[in-house]
Amino acid sequence: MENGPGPRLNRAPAPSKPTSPASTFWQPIRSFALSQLTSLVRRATLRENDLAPKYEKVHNFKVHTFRGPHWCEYCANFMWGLIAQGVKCADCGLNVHKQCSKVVPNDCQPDLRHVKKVYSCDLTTLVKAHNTKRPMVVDMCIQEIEARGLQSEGLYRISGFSELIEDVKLSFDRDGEKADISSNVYEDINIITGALKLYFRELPIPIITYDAYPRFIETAKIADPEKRLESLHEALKLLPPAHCETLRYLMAHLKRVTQCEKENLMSSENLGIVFGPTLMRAPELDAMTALNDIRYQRLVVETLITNEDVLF
Amino acid sequence: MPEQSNDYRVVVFGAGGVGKSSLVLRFVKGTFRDTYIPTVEDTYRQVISCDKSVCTLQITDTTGSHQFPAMQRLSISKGHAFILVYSITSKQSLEELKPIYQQVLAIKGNVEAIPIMLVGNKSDETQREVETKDGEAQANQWKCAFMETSAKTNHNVTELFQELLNLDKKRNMSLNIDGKRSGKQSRAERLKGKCSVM
Repeated sequence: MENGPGPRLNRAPAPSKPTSPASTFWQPIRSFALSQLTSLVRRATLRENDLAPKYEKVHNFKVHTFRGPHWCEYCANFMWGLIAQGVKCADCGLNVHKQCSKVVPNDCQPDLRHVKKVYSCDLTTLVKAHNTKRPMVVDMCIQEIEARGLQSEGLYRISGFSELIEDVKLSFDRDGEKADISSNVYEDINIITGALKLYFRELPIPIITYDAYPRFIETAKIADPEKRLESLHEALKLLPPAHCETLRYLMAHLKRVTQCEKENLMSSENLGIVFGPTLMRAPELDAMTALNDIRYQRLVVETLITNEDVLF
Repeated sequence: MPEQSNDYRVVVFGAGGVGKSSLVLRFVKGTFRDTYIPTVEDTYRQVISCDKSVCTLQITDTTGSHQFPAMQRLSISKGHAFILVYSITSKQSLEELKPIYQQVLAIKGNVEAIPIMLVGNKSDETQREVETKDGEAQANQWKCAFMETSAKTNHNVTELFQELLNLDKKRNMSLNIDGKRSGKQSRAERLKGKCSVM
């Protein structure tokens, strides 16, 4: 039994006898099987650990050609074929059959080895990969801005030098939460505000998602303020939890910005103009509708800021 | 629209808060407001004379606070002439014009045939960060015209637009329409001679 030739997935590595011809034949296959086994174990332990933010995330499966024999990490059966034997999740590296990919639960736990960028990375993917509540760009920029003071005139309106903003982006992409955005490195506060706005603009799915976008625009068309708040509250429920949490945090911050309006001249209306197109993007690229929507976007953001305490 | 070809489009670029809207509003409406409201994008029209006939001057006031590369590219490719505004109280606002100029260069190719005016606004302010000669030097480097203006005190505003139209050698344009006058010309006489044209 101990030296049985067939390597089975649920077997612990058996000490092989070097003299046995069977074991030299099976050794390569066994090591493959073991590598599959470890990834199964990895998945199991990850699920047990249950990380702080419990955001659900779908897998990002792409057809993949595996080199060497591979076993599906969902059904544990062999993945047949020479090319395109199965699919691989680009975020967490899960390898499964194409058929199995349809039934795999939405439990993608992005791995930092696969999620390399910070900017232009899906928001939920990013927070799951870094195991944080919100994207660290948002937290770090807002904390830095509040630490430096919200009195700066034209905060979020005046743009920082674009090359330095690119620089901030690069350092976030490279260093993640270790990025240094202190005033020793970036003296001008408008570089930090610019980097934060750029982060939102570069999200592949805007913070107010394409799916929820029409509902948000509708709310801005409601004249009655009471009803508008109500429908806005409903619309917020359509956002993925990570998006909603990030939006809440940002709005609370922007509310504090408006409280310094006397010094920084940024009212909620002004912030609405600046942030409207940053946080909301029309799903279709019909230029006319998109242009018409701009004033509603402004209104939505303005309402979100002024009623931040009631809405979230 | 059949008159489309008759339009002359001027696009105003610059960083946030340098006074692009103030300049345009001063020119179009002759007013100045001390408000602080960011722009998304506004277009104003003014009737001018061009090659002895009447045409529309379209002035596009762009946003400085958030760059939309697509919108910016569209404005550049559709524009005939450009005004690049910085504030003399902010060295950085001049720096920020550089990528915009580069983009105009990239889209239009040969900029020497295109009227471009570098404008240092807020010349009434006393806390100056950019000296006049620095602006001139930048204009020389870019082979474009240069002027300092103040939308607040209405210094050089009409002159700016007239000078820009003069720069276009293909057309003969003037802010004056024969017979009619629109109130702004009376100020045009006081040309301060502050402009240096390459």
